[in-house]
Amino acid sequence: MRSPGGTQSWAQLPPGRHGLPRSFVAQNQRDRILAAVADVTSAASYAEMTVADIIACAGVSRRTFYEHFQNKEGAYLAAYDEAVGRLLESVRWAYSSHERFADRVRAGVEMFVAMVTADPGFARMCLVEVMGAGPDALRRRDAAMAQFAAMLDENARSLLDAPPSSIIAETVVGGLYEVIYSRLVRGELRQLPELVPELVHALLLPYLGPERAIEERDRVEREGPMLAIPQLGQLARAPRAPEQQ
Amino acid sequence: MRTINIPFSSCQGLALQNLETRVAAIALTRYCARMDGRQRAPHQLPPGRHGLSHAYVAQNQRERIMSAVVQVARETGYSGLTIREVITAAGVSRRTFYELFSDKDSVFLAAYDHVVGRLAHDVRESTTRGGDWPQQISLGLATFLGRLASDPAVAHLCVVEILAAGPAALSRRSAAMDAFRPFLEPGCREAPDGVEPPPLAVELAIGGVYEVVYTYVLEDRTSELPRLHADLLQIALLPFLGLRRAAAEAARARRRVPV
Repeated sequence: MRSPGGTQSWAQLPPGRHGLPRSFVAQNQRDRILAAVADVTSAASYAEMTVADIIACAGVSRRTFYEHFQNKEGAYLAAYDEAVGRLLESVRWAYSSHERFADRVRAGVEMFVAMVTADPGFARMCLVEVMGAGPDALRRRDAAMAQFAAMLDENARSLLDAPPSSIIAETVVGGLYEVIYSRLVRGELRQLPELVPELVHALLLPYLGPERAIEERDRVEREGPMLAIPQLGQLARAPRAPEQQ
Repeated sequence: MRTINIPFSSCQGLALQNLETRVAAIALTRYCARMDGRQRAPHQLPPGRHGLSHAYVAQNQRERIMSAVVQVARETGYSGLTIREVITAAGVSRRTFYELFSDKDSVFLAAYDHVVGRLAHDVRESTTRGGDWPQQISLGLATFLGRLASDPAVAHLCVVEILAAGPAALSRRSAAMDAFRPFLEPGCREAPDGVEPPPLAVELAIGGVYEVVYTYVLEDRTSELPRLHADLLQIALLPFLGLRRAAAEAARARRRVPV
């Protein structure tokens, strides 16, 4: 999208002949469209979002949009897959960089909370709008939730003495989702980091029991965040410039 | 004697609650006996003069329309739901529809409020039959799972389709989730020594149960929900009662509630 003064957004490629390979250009356009989906859903619901909004925000032509995606739903699902893939990968990385089960859960929660608070558009797209984006989106959400639950469940089985009931992981992940979802819908995203100790408490409780879960909560409160996460914006979505030129 | 069959399990019983509607039902039954032989759908009112009050007719039509929304939404999802299909299934005219509802959104939300209100009412009523708090939760949860299992279309509307029906529907859903909080909140006072329920316990328990129910409904396994009763009960009670007592309550539930 050209602004009235003729300037371009940072992420746009220069117009005309630039000698960049075609695949690079296509990838850049695709990334911009996906990022635009997250930006648009942070202001409008999925139902309100239009292809016109997406192309205006991405700075691509309607024709370019339709070269990449069939329709709004296609673009949304691609953006969702990429964002949730990144979220899962980051949480899994944080989780597996520790040995103790309690530390793993704590690192995973910290990463999840850090990523959703760093980028509300990304968070709304992944956690709120997915609910209203049709049956395919719901199935993907279901698959993502199952992956989070499986991560917790596998570790609980291998790291704890007694194997837990298999629906514990699902209820724990569902409960966490509900807490984050309701904060997002009520516009209270900023309060989430303060809830980390209590989230860790609640997540560990079914596995470790009340006494040890409280010990771990106190430890989280004492020690503060265990993850030093650089440049969260970059983790949360494809690289983009923070401001326009 | 013929009975009026409103094919909307959550409405049944409601229509006969007050005197006026009972009188109307008697008038209707007599009228139906006279009209025997004419073909009407069992839930439709007879045509022509029937001596039923205007309010009764409107209420009957309203319930039929909401019932139709539940059935149609099960097939088409919220996005595919059309007023044409709703009025066909309800056996009312388009004009009657628009006398009672302004559009698809309003009828969908009315149907949601109705079935959720009924569900919450039944859950509340069953909790009052429990002696102590854990038993109240056990009975409430059993009713909740049982009602959903017995009516998959209602379960689909309340649990899945409401999420696809726009921002107003999402805030209705949040309000409905909050309506279950008062059942769990007393649990914070039940905690034995050494157990300190997390401040998020109520929210997490409701969200956790919802997630499991949601998965079952989405996968068309709604009828299996009652089997989860003891497991879900244990998870819901755990933050409040600790591991040992929650397990004991789950064992008690397994003995009491046949699966």
